[in-house]
Amino acid sequence: MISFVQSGFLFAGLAVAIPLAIHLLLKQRARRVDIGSIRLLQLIMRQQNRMRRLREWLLLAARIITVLLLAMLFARPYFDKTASEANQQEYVLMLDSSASMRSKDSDGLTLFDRAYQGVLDELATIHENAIVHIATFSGSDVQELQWEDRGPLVRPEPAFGPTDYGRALSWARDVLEGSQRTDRHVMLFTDLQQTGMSPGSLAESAPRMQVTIRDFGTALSRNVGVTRVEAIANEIRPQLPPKVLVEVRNFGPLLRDMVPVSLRLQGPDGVLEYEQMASVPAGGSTRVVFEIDHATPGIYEGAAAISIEDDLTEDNRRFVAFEARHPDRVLLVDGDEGSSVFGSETYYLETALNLGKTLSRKELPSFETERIIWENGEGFPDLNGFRVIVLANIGRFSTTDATRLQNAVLGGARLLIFPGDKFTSLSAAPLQQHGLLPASHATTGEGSPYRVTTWDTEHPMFRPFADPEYGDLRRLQFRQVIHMTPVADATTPAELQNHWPLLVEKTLGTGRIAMFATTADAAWSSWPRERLYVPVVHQLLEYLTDQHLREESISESVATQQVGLVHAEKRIDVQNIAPRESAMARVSVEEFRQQYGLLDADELAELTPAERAALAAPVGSERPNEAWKAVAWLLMGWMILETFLASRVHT
Amino acid sequence: MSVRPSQQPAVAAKSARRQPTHTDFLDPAALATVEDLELVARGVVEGFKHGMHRSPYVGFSIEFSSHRQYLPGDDLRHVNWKLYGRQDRLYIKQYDAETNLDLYLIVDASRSMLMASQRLTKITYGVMLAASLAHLALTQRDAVGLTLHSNKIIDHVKPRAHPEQLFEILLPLSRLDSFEPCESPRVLHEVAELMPRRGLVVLIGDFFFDMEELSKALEHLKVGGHDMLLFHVLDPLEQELTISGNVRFRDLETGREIITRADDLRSGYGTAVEQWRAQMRKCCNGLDIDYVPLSTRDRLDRALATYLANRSEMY
Repeated sequence: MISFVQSGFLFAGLAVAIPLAIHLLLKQRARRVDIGSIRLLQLIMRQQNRMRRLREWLLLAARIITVLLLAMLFARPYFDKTASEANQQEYVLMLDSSASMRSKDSDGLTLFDRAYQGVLDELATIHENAIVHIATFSGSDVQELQWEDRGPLVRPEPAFGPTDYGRALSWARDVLEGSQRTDRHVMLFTDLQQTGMSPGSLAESAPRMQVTIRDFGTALSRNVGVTRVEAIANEIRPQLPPKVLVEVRNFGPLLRDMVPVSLRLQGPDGVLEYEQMASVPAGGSTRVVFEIDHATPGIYEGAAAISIEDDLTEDNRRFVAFEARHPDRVLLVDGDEGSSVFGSETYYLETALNLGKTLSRKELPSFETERIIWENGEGFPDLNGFRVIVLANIGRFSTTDATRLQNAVLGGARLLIFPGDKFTSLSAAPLQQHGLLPASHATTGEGSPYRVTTWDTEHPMFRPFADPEYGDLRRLQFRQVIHMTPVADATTPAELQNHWPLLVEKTLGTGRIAMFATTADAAWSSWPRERLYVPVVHQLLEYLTDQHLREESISESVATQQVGLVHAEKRIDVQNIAPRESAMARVSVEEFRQQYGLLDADELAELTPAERAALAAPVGSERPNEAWKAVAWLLMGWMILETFLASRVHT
Repeated sequence: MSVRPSQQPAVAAKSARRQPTHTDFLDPAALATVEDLELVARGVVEGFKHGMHRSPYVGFSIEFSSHRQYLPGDDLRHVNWKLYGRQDRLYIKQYDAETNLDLYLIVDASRSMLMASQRLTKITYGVMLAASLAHLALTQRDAVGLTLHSNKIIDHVKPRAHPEQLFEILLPLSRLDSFEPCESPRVLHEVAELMPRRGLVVLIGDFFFDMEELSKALEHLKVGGHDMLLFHVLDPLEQELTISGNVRFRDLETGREIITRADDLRSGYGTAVEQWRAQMRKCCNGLDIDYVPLSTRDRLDRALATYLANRSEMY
């Protein structure tokens, strides 16, 4: 049987009308000539007519066949007499190995067991000449199974990844697109999980393959799963213990009452176990919060679990890990209480530093601030535990306090100094004597606005401002600044115009000291009201508390091959089943086909052989059994014959 | 008809479109441009005589004129043996003109004679030929008669040698205006009855007849003991099928049509014409008829020379 790659060109066969028209026109267009008698003509014609007519018909036939051959040549014929036979078949068997396939039915067999058996049954029916690819798919992971010499198929194990049909079908399409075989099948062994319907359509390429769907899903799901476990508070504050949120979702049609929800954590002080009872409505979820009392700083790792009998047991437990730590304590020492609540210089600082806590924004680091008014130099409280000590507008400073401060800095504390109206050379003297000033304080510049001109974009504090799109420091302007002369071992990461330093810093022992050229409040400028104030303050404090050096030691990822806590060096990777895998809702085969633009066997059968061949043809490739070369040679020979006949007929 | 006789030959001569030369009068295409049939006939004969000095027939007519001395090479048939007996000298008899020959001109005026692939129809050619022969014969004082026929006798002029006879001959030739078909030579049997005296019968036509019927008709004509001359006039197209492409041929006699590619038939047709003429020649030879195949392209002097040769054989 012969088929055509470009069957549309067969319509060119209608061009046979051209030689037919020529034939008929030549026959009809005859000029009239009078002659004495046609007796002799008739005599000759009787002798010659038979041969002449034969030649005319032969010429017409030759011309028609020439046109047909030309049309056939462009239609690229190929022999597919074996198209329906096995040596033109290529199969891709896609076995769903996502986590939902671990779901058990009433017989205790998992869906994966049944699907795998389905694959084995199918393999037994496929002819040995057919090419067969077998692959499992889970998440973005598609693994082709080795099946050599039609031997026994090594049973794969189900994975924990989410279902992604788009990825699976794309993989199958890629395999078959490169195929030279015409009869291409994709067989999907799956549970038709609705959440696996990743967006995207394969409509353009999917009709080239005949997709068969074997559904192994259960009709009614009664699955309950832990879909979220998260430390919603991991800082240890007085009266505010770390909290772990556990979300339990019921995917079944019935209320699940008295579901025991437990949390087991391994912490620095040993194992902690908690349990609560929860009621989970049908199709809904319940959140349970566990408070970790008497927490000590350190890594807490474990899992939340529910004790319940349902379809999928793998999602009844969900792993979690978090680090509980004290927030960085900041002591704000203000030299002037001010006349109002806004009057003190450290008001804006404290507000900015507590913003993360107020907004519950995890991306904003929170600090534990404590403010004291230092109007009369009452003396420092116990400085132990304070990560940063901020001096703002300090007017008086005793040598004792300076010595205590020096010891704290030497011990690792950070000192941040803001000037103010009360901050004079006299008050700065004790600090300078103890090496606590990174710059000598000479004059105060006021009147003209001072703008930030240069800053070190590689400095950890200013790195985010390297791109003006994320905050242009040149927009900051100050009415009044102090003119600082950095000491020998100090650095100046940012400057104002005239090369006056904006920020000067130096290290002392294991601590660090930084000094700003203007006040932290609105006394010398309006910068607390600028949008850049909070980012700059946070960057400054994060830098001083070394938060930029703190690596995130805990990460979370969607499980593929395993679930649990994976320890690697100093990092912990929490791998859990994708929450959507717990949703066992299914789609119908029709919806599935519609989503991906797939034709089923019946629809393919309705196509004409030419349409089917066109669908099957890989675009731009030549089939090994194409016959166009033979047709081209035949056409050439035929045209020579036609020329010969034409010369015989028309001479 | 493109030629007609003139009541006043002198005046008619002036009305010719141009003054023809002697040579022109032998070219049928040139003659066809001359409207005066008498002028045509006279021109043909004069032109013919003008180049006759080489002809072996010169001076040997039926009527005795004088003697001259025999010269080596003279035909012994013309030696006056009686005079030789008396004077023991050889003299050759010279003749002046015929006085007792009846020339019957039988011209086919059927539809098929209207065939003309070029300017000249076969009937025009035949009429000019008949007129020329009549004129030539009358100048030799022969009696000339004319029969025009298609499938029936259209006109008949009894043979006379009177000088006015030329006008009598030319008049029906010039009056031809309707042409009937003639599919059978049966009419020739009737014509044969119109020729009581022995004479020279000249047949002019295309003779698209059944060969057997034609043979019988000619045989009938021959019964009167006539000498016969058959001018077989064909158009060049009829001879060689000088035409290409698809052609719808119409039979002028029957009106029937056939469509064919002339190219396909040309070679076979040429052969068929040759065979046909060979049959005609064979038939004529069998009846002692001189057969002269002519084309309307042929000069008329060829026909006249054949006529004279035939006439001379009679006497």
